[in-house]
Amino acid sequence: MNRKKSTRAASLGALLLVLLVLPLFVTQPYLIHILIMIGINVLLATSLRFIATSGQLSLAHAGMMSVGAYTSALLVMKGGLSVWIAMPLAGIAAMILAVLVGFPFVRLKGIYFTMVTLFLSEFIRLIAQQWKGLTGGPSGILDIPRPGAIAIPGLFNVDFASKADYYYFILILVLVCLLLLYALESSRIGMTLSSVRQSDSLAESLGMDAAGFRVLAFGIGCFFAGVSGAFYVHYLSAANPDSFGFLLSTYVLMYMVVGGMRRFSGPIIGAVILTIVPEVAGGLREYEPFVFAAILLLIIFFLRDGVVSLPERIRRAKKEAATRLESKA
Amino acid sequence: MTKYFGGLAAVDRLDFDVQEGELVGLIGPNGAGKTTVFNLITGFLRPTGGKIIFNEKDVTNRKPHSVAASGIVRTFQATNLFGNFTVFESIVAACYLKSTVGFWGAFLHTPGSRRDRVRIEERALDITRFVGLESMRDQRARNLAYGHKRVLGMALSLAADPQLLLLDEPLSGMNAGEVDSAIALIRRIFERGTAILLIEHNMRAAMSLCQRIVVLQMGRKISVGSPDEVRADKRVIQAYLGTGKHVA
Repeated sequence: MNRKKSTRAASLGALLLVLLVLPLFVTQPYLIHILIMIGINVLLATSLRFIATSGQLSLAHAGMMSVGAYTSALLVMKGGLSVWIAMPLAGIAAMILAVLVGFPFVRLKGIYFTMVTLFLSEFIRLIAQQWKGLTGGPSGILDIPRPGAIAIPGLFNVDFASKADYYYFILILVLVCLLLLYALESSRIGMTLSSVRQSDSLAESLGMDAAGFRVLAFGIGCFFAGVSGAFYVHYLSAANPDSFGFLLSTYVLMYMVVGGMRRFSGPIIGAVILTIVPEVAGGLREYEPFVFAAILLLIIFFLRDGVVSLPERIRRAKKEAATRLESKA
Repeated sequence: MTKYFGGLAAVDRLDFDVQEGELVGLIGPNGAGKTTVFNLITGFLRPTGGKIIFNEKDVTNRKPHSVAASGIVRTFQATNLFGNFTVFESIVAACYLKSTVGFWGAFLHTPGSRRDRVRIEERALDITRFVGLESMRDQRARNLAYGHKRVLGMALSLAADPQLLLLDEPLSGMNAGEVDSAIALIRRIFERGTAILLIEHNMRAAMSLCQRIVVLQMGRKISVGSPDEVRADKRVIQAYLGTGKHVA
């Protein structure tokens, strides 16, 4: 067991090292852009899974991202705040909204919860589209400032003029967020969320405030959606309502399901694969939703627990084959 | 206490009490409203009228988790477990109520939370031993044999440290051997000083365990008293066997 742990730590370290030096080898801006998008998608899918650990599927992630995006953009452009302060506030704005709507929402279970989160998301998109005075309407907000430069004279100077700077920013952001989410999941809070998912009534009978914990999970998940929305618009320097539509929420859901919901690493792997697939598929670009749907169907039918369960599947199949051989001999 | 479902009184002006450290049985034919009474006491249903007083405090209309926190813990008639957890993990999760560490403590792994964690695991181990599931502590709850599942259900409720434990047909579906050990377990819980309100169809078990028995029929209390008194009560015999006048 200990050996397994240390090899795991070693491979994680190696992966981290590769991620750190990657921009030295990958210099085309477009490829770096894809890496940055992978980062955003990992953050979205992992935080969506956190909500799902309490047994609820949210389709409000695009909406929450949009809340974070506009909050941060407006705080910086109209409120004169620094991007570094506006970004966490954007997450908090999304969380506050999630907690406010959460109390009525979590009374609905299963598909009904999912439906109201979808309505909420579309509602937010419509507000962003209609409230021209605040959000610029359908054309959105342009020229959103980039984050202020961080410099230690003589050592380094990050001014966010190049894509590589954003790459490091999202890399650190994702790492910090993943650590936070992982710590939460492995704490008592994660255990209680899982209890609530497995049996609502039993959890309540043992004194767990099931509704309260559901709201908590929803709020925390939406916080990270808000933060990633804020990052997204400061990176692209533009925000418009249609970037945060229904399709985006669905994609995030697909990242999670294709990667596998059971494990923490599932949505990470799902987000990586499904962000890369349309890029390498070239001519299929236009048919992206179809390609995604096909992948999703294949996963649901043949690999229920997602791509992360593949090694375990293969190992089990091998073992079965071996025992079959033995029994023959 | 009264509960109407639509126009039907499922529980009709029912009134009874359980003293500290007492073992009371709640019996009656199918559909008499016994489980509804449990749901009303524990906040899973709201009474149409009446009050539930526990330790001189009004717990009527409280939410289930807050009723549990006040010291009334129930089990379920059907097996209701955290299926993906192992026996030990479920009991640890059920000790949640007794955790003294809040959100930030749990999240930041403060020294206090680590001590709390150790304390809770010790408690969970005690409970695992107490109910006799020690040899199965690392098995997943959903893979347990039926009888063990029921015992685990009781173990979870003990983890929430009840003053009053409501057991909903703890013996149903068990084989003879399982029934005997479950009865012994209920007796051990009672001897620790926990008051118990027990719904049971197994008459022999109910009669031998309980100090006092409340008999329900069509949501009404038709008799109350010691097992011998209840057994001799004409209304009880009628309720179970019918009078011959109104068939079915």
